[in-house]
Amino acid sequence: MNLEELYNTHKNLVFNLALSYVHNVQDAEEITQDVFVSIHFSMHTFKAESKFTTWMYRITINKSLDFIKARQRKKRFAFITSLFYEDSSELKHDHRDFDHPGVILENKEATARIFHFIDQLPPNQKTVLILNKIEQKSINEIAEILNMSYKAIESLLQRAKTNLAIKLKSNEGYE
Amino acid sequence: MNTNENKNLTLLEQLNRVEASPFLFTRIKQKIAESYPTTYSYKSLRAIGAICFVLLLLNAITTYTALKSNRNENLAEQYHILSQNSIYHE
Repeated sequence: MNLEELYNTHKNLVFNLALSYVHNVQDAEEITQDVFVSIHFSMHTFKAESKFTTWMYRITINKSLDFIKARQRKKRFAFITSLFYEDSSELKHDHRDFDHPGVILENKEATARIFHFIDQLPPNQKTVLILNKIEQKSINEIAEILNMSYKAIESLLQRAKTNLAIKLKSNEGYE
Repeated sequence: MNTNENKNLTLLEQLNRVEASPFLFTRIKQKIAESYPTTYSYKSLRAIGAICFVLLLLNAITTYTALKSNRNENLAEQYHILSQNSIYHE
């Protein structure tokens, strides 16, 4: 299978998963590009021991988390720069709003709010929650994707739900 | 987990799948093409380095030989002797 065929088969999987992490089309497209470029150059490292989609999920998750980390680093740097240079526009320029095209308009505000709290979860809890709730993956499938045990995923998912509930509850009073 | 929190999580399940842009593959191909020169830069750098070294060496040899022959000629001129080994002009 060449890259174009791979792209046509898996583009929506990669794009939608990236969208769950970054919540805007521009960034999700950038991640999708990175994923396929990375697949093109590391195709020879793929071992047939796991399914190709599992490998694809792993690459997309890693690229998305790397992207978020880089964005945070950039934000921190922009903040430091803005302390020294009043004129710095980097901080304003980097900010991207919640713009998930898969959200129904009437749910937009509530979904943006829940994603705001999901973003505050540790990366592994966030990933498990996204795979389970958005990608509709079973615990067994998540365990295979993340190369972890069933028990570990079950506990991560439970912790993610509890932490999210705490964050949502503590924020209720401020609305 | 109460019903309010369950409602929040149900929002995630209601997200629609989105189609990726049809032009994205063109950008991916472009990005791959841009990545290629850096992949082979080490090889090409070595080749360019080797060529430069050979050229420098040739230049050094030519200059050295030219200088050497010039020096012989200057010395011959100073002492008014022939710079060549031939005595008889044919």
